[in-house]
Amino acid sequence: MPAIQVQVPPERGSFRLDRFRPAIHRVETLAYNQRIGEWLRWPEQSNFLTVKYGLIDAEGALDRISNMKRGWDSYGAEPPDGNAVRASREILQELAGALILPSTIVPSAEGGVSIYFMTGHRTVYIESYNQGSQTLVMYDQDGTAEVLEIGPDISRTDVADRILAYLG
Amino acid sequence: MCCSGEPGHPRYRNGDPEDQLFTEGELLFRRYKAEHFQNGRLLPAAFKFPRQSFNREKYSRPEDVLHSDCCEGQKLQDGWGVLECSSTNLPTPIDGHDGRTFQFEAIHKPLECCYAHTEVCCKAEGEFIDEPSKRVRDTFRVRLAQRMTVRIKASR
Repeated sequence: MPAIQVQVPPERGSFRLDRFRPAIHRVETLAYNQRIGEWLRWPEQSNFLTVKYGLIDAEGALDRISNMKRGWDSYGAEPPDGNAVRASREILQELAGALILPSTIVPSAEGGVSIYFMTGHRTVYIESYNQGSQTLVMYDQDGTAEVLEIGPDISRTDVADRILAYLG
Repeated sequence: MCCSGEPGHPRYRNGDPEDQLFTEGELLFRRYKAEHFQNGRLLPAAFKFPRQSFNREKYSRPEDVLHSDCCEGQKLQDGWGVLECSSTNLPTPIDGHDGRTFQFEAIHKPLECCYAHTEVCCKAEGEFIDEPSKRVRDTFRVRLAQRMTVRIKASR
């Protein structure tokens, strides 16, 4: 009479990763490893592309804004001049380094360029004026506003951190 | 500048005097560009400081602000709309943090081809102030933008 082979259930307890090792080895080809490497670098590349395309959009907006005529707002506003456009471009590049991209860029009726960053209930804008000064304004839906002149009140290198802290 | 004389044009001055009586809740109208209205919010960039221009409701229909007679003769194309706010609910006062408090009020400043023309002026201690600190200017622009609502939506 043949002996009855009893099926013993696998040990319960710690998970035995070594059981999968042969399967993992089988897919570890060169292409697989390259793909995994690309995958691991993806967040970095994704950020790079987001910033790159964001800056292309911003550049397009600045080009359009820099061609406006006097009275573009129909209330006699001055068009943004070269100083305001240049200052805006510089600060956009600095902020992009901190992965901060604008929600919109518009001409300002004050004579200059306004760059907006918006979240649910909070808004930040940086206004670069034709006269050369720049202002950082942060406000919420209740109209509580903080106005800082870039230079006298806040250094340019601190602007990105300030925006991130405010918008969260 | 000659007025258009078009049928249905905005009210012209025709020698009429200023009228500084604004009744409670009288509306002020102002045109805006579509790009200055984003995510359901009017951007403060739509306003210069000082003396923002409006048309007052007593002598103007909302659409009059888009008429060339109220735009220094400019014929506006697509992309413009009309905002409104109450002349008696302006964001005032604003603390200057320099010991002064700034008041804002509507002043009727009729133009020959646009009798309803009105400006919002800044005052401190009874004097007109055109250049308060940047803090006051931008705080006012922010709060004014938040009080404006869309009366005629801008087409894009």
